[in-house]
Formats: sequence, C-alpha cells, structure tokens
Amino acid sequence: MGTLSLEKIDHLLWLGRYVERSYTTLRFITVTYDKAIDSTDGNWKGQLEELGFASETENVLEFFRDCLFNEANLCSLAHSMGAAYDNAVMLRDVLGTESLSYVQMATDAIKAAESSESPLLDLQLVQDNIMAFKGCIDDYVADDASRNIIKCGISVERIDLYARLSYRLDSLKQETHRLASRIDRTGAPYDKQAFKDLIDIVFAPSFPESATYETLGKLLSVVARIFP
Amino acid sequence: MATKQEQELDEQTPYTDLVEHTPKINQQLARYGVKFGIYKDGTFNERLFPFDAIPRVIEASTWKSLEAGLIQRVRALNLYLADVYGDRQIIADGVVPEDFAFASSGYLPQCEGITPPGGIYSHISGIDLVEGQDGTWYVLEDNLRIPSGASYPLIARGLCRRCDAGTFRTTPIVDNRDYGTRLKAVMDSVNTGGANVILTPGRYNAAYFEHAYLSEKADAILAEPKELFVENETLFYRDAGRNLRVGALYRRLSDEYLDPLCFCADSLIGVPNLMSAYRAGNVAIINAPGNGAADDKGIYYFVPKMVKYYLGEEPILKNAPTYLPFYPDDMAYVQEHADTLVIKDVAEAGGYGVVFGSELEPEKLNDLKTLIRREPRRFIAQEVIDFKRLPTYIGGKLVPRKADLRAFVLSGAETTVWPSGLTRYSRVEGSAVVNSSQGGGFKDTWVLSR
Repeated sequence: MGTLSLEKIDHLLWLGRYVERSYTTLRFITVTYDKAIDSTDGNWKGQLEELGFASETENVLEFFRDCLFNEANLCSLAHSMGAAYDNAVMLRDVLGTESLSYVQMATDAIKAAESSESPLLDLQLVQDNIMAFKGCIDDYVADDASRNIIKCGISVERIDLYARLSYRLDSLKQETHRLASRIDRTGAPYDKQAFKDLIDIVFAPSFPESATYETLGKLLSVVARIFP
Repeated sequence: MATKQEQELDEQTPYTDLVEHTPKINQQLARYGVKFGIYKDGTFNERLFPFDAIPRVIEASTWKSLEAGLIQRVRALNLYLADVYGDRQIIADGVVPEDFAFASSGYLPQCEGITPPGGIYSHISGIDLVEGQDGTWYVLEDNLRIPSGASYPLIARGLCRRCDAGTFRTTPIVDNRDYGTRLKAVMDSVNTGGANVILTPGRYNAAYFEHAYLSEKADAILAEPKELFVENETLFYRDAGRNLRVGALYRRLSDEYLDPLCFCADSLIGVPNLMSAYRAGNVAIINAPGNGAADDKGIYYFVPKMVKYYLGEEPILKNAPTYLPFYPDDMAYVQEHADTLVIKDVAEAGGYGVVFGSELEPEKLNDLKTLIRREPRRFIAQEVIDFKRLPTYIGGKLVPRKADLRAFVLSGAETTVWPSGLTRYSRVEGSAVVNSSQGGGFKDTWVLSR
C-alpha cells in the first residue's frame, strides 16, 4: 500500500461510489425517459422515485431536467457527478492528471448538455468518460491499494443501488465476489462482520429468488456499514 | 490592407502555426483542470486561466545575462534573510535602515535565531521582471514566500509540442518540462529524513491546481493540514497504515496560518507545533517562514545594495527606478511628480494597492499625497516602465498586450534558474495589470539554446 491518509482513502472510496452512482443514475434516467414517451398509465416516473427523485411536477420534461441537471437535488446526475469531481480533485497526486481529466470531462459534459436541445444524446459523453476513467485508472494509477479502493467503492455503490431498485439481483453474487477479491488489497479499514453479513445474505440459497423487502432492507444496512 | 500595427505584430510573430491552435489548446487545458480560484463578493469561483499560444521568446544571450542576474539576486536575498534573522550586520552597517528591516509586516520575530536546514531560506523564488521598450529588463518584485505559476507554462508546453511539432523540431527551445524534477531535487537537498510533502490549504485555495499538479510532478505527497501532526518536535503525515515522518514540507499557505501555536491563534488551517519541529531542525520548510522580511515592496529598494554588500558585485539586474517617501528627498520628489508615478502600498499583493498617479482625479491624487505624507513607510513610488507589448491572439486577431515575466529561481544544493517562466499578459488594451486575479492570461516562455 502506498502512502494514504484516512482522508484520501475516504476520497477514493467516495469517488468510486459517486462515479458509479452517476453512471447508473444516467442509465436509469435514459431508460425511464424512453418508457415515459409511450406511457399511458401516469406512472411514467417509474423507478426514479425509488432512486429518491421526489419532484412533485407532472411535467415530463421538467421532471427529467430536474433529475439530470438540478445540482440542489441530491439525487440528480449533476449532483452525483459534482460529488465525484469534488473527491477526485483532491486526489491528483494519487490518480494522476490523465485519469482525473476524464472526471473533469464528464463533469463538463453535464454542464454543456444542460443548454443542449438534445441533452440525452449529449450526455452519452458522460458515460463515455466514466468508462474511460475506469479503464484509465488501471493503466495510470500505479498504487494497487488506491485502485482497489476506487473499485470497492464502485462495487459497494452498485450493490446498494441494485438492492434499492430490486434490479438485477442475480448479479449481486458476482459483484460481491469482486468486492471480496479486492477488499483485503485496499489496506483500508473496513467492518469485517458487515462484510460477512453481506456474503451470508447474497449467497443464501434462497437469494435472490425469495428476497423480500425486509431482506433487501437488511442488505442495504449491511452495505452501509462495510466502510464506516 | 494590414494596418501598421498589424504588420509590426506579424513581424514579431514567427510562430503563427501555433496561433490557430489556441482554442484547442485552451480546450485541453480545461480538460486537465487548469484553473485558478478567485473569491468575489464572498463567493468562491474557479476560472480557466486563458492561455495565449504565442510565446514570449528569449534569445540565448539575453537569457544568459538574466540567469546570472537572477542567481546573483537570489543569493543576496538568501544572505540577507540569514543576516536579518541572525547577526543583523547589514543593519549595523547602515545599509538597510532598521525601520525598514523590522517594521516590515513580513518580518517575524518568531523566526529569529533559526537556521533552516541547508541554510537556505528562499528555495523557490519568483522574480517578476518586465522588458522595457529599449530591451532593458527590470525587476519589479521579488516573491520569496509562496510564489505560484510554474505549473501553467509547464503543462502548456506539452500541449503546444503536441499540436505544432514542426516548430519545436526546427526551433532550439530549451525543454522546460523538468520543473518537477528540479523541485524534487530542491526538496531532497534539504530533506531532514522522511517524505517530501506539499502542504495545501485545500481545494478552495486560488492556486490549488498548482499544488496538486506539482505534487504529481515532483512525486511528493499532497497533504492538507489535518493530515499532518507534530509529535516530539517531529512532523508526521497521518498515514492510515503507519505515521510517516516528513523531512521536507513545501508549504503553500501563508506564514500567519502555518502554526496556530506560533502565529495566528485562530488559524484553522495550520499545523500545531510545526514551528517547534522546524526550530529543532527536524523538518525543512520550503520556503522558510519569515521570508516576507526580504520581499516587502519597501525592502525591494535595497536589494541592489544587498548585492553589493554581501557579494561585492555590481548588480546585473536593474530595479525599476524607485523612491521611498521615507527619505525626505524622495518624499519631495514623490509629492512633486505623483501624477507621473505608480504608487504601491507595500502591504498589498496580487495587483491590489497599485495606483497610477496619471489615472487619478486631482482631488484623489491630493488625498493620496496627504496619505503618503502621513504614512511614508507604507508606500513606495516608481517610475512607470513602458514595458514591451507582446503579440497576443484575442478575439480572433493579433493585438499587442503588456506582459511581465515571472522567473523561477530554485535554490537547493545549487541555485539554478528554470529555463522558462510564467509570462502573464493583460487582456485589456493599454493596461499594465497582468495578474490572473485581475483577469490576465498567460503565455509560455521559450528560452532559446542558441
């Protein structure tokens, strides 16, 4: 493990989490927007409400603009990517200027898309830059621990989001495997009992087929405890 | 048909291939987060630092002379700092009046008697120069505390090389991309045993990009104050695995905030007891606290005298003609010629507190003259140097703009000058205020090898 203070470990972890949150949020917004075009039952907000988008508006365009660009909305894409940037910018010495530039470009792409007439097309650049960032850290971040902390942050966030949305629960075994293969290579302090509890839930024979809201609620609370 | 001014600019601009790439280079600079922060009306904003691709070009022979002058000046300034915090011989000999040496706000009694590791006070010196219309270079200001700006031409050079390889193949430009290596060498040379750390106040500091970028380039740890602590007069980095001793600290925050137990007690961004570790010789602080004693605008007047006093040499570089109202003759001159002089408040920096007498209404000018009579130590006055304007690409065309040069002198095992520098230009026609905080832009500085 290189030289990392607890503050930097925290920034790395939350960088991973917010990058993943931005990526998944954008994907969900895009899919929901597409469904809203054909929606006739008035339920066009779909799972975005479960992601925490509580806007009262019934105006479709206004709602989606809020989901995408309203930084004051803690669930919005702009807020998540801004938070990713806030963490990344503290880590130039760890990430390197090249890796950091992809976070910068993803953030800038959101600002540029806000004034676009086809924002969802332009926001493809956000996904592209996030994917490039993920690839770039493999090449440019020499410190194994730093890379693994970011990736653990990504895994934790993915498990959290998928559980909240009951989305692709069958993939949580694979994500937990990934987390298990990395977590001890981070050198970061973590709650071993919480991680064991996560494994117990995800690898239970009845998961995900018989997973209840209660099970998913427990899973969410366990995930939140892994990195205190 | 081109105007006379346009023809002159074209003649001065041999590197026109670069001009067309200016927007793209600025895009790349945005990509890499090349910004500076500015507080306005209590709000923090980050701004891109506009880059003009037409460089300042310095011929080899000119550079040789500048380099010698800069090294000479910084050697003298380092000797002055050792003296003023030590034996005070220069004051006893009447070369620098006591009033100026100790009344300077940059003079810190807490630093008296401390000899920094390696005996070096100013490791990174930023010397601001301008070139007069006749080709004479003048020093306008010495910055010996935390001069910033090296990172900007450093990152811009790599981008310019990418977009105009032809120019760089055919022009003998000295490579400037070793600044990180030079900085590391300086830190290593005074390191007392431990890691090299760059201390930043945090991301809301105006020069945060530079702090972070230089830590990457110099292979140093970037730390905020809360990541450092002192125990047994030794500075440590609070690593998650083990605490890591710090041997050299390149601090990028002002003296008064460095250690709340020694300076400003209400500083929230300092490291308690840092000065005790420094005093014990257990950590090198770059630049040394207390350097403000030598880069005060009032002390500037005496630097050529320091060169003669300490080195027994004639100063190679000139000061801008300067008057100290503290002296009766100079006061009389300033009172009579205030309308043609530039008046500077010695306590201000960053382009603030600078007033051109010619721009003031008679009533305001009289008020200023009264203030100077009342507080003579607070001001200096200088002849206005009509400095050379450089061709600059603004709004799709070439225009002349006033520009200065911040040269970086690095003092470690030896004193060297980085063969480049930050050229700052005013974006406003006729204005001599080039500071980034005042809306200025920057250029790369090319030093030719032959």
